[in-house]
Amino acid sequence: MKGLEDRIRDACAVADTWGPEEPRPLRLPVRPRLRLNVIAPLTAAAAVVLAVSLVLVILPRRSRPVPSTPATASPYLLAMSGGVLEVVDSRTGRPHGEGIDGYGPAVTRGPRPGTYLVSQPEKGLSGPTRIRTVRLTADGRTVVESAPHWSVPGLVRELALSPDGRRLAYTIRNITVVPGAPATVQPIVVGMLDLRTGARREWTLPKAQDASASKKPDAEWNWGVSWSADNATLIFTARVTGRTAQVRALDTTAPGSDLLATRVLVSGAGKIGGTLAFAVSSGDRHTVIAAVDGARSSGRAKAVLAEYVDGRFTRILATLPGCGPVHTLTSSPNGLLISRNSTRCGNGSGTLIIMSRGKVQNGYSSEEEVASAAW
Amino acid sequence: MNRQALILERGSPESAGAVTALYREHAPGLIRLGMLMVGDQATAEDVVHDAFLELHRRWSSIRDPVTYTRSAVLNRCRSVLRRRAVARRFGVGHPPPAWSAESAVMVGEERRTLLEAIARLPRRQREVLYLRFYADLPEAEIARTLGVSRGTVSSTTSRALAALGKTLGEQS
Repeated sequence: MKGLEDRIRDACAVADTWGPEEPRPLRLPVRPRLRLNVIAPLTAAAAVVLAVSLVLVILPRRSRPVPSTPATASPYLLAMSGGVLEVVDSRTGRPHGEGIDGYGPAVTRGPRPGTYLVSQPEKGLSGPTRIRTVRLTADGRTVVESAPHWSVPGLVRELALSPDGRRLAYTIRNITVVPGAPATVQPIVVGMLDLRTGARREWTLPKAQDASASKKPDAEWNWGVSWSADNATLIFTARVTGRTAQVRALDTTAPGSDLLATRVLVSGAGKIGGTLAFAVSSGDRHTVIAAVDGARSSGRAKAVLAEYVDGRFTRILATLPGCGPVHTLTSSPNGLLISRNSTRCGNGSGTLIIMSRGKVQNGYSSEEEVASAAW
Repeated sequence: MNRQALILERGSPESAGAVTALYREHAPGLIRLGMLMVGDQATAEDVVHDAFLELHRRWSSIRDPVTYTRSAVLNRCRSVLRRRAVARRFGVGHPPPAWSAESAVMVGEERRTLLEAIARLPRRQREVLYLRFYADLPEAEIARTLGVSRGTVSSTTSRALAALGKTLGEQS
């Protein structure tokens, strides 16, 4: 049996029979050699000097004190799409400028205003991962800062910063790929990094319980780790094959390292049906907001945002637009960010949805999967 | 072609000659690479033509014209695919790809299946696969073409192969 690489080569070789034997003629404009004309630049310089002088003389007389406007949220958010860190203008839903390659798949808000933490795989699919700081300028440009940065062993899938900005939660799932053989996937690891001291602590899922690891490597990569307001509890969705999906709370101050020896907040989607995909804490100790795939809403299966109080379904907050399963749910100071990805959708494979002030809007559509987002 | 021998003034008849020579040598291969990316010959020819016009315009500032042109072709293919994605939302169709069942130029069900599976991969993974397995470029050259690190090329290739293997495994 031919290897996959040979089969790709063989299939691509078909392209050698395509296209024209002779390309159509290239008609290049031949321009005359540029001659330096001193009159035009001198005239332009004189005009600029005159204009600047006029502005300097007139403006101080006309200027009036301007009332200070309250600071507003930046319209720009960061989305990781197809291995590219894109700046997205939330007002238009379009990329702002060129994205930057070589980062991902995780991005979250940073400890300082206007900064973000971004994962950068150092060695393929089994880590380690460098966590870098990216600054977003007021006009929507990204600046990768040289320091500080941190290193986490393993391929980081998700990042979430605690509300006080001191601890960074992450999930790791290493994958080993040998062409021609099934991919080997390591069990999920949830970790916590102290950004001041660099100390790490990790919790794992016993491999025996992680039956999905070898069978469905793509399905269980993200567990939607997020922080509750107390800066000590991590919320995540445990989706172990053969069991009902559960939203769990991990007390990071308690001893132990078993991911399933944690408190269950919500078990199953409740009477709306469907599957719990991801969840975030809504701020108090009782309420959880979850994204549910395949919920029965108006008689049809849809993806919805649902509220659960003390483990019970209470209401549907919103029906999510877009297509495909929910891929991420992230809480940010400016609202909730939800991504849905599917290669079967007609309008591309990734959609980022923003729910802000009770309104749901399409934040960004990409032909690539939206792996994570932060605002 | 040696770039050192081609340091000519922008827009001069000599640079036009150099660009034309490069065009004759590389355009057919780039058109086929473009067809793998966008699916049809007319669009691929336009893309390659534009890339060489751009090469001519920027001739004096470009160090490696072949890599530059290859990157320019891929960039323009991305723009085409983005525009098509927008057009699809408004119900506007585009020609079936050269490897599709509707097209007569393709022979072989297995190859068609494989090319269709590659076409469904994310854009970056497709580009890496075509540059490696069609253009036969080494990793360093792919990295230069795409403007990414070698590590990114390596991990993207692995991810693409894994995804492809999984897709084909599911189909078979």
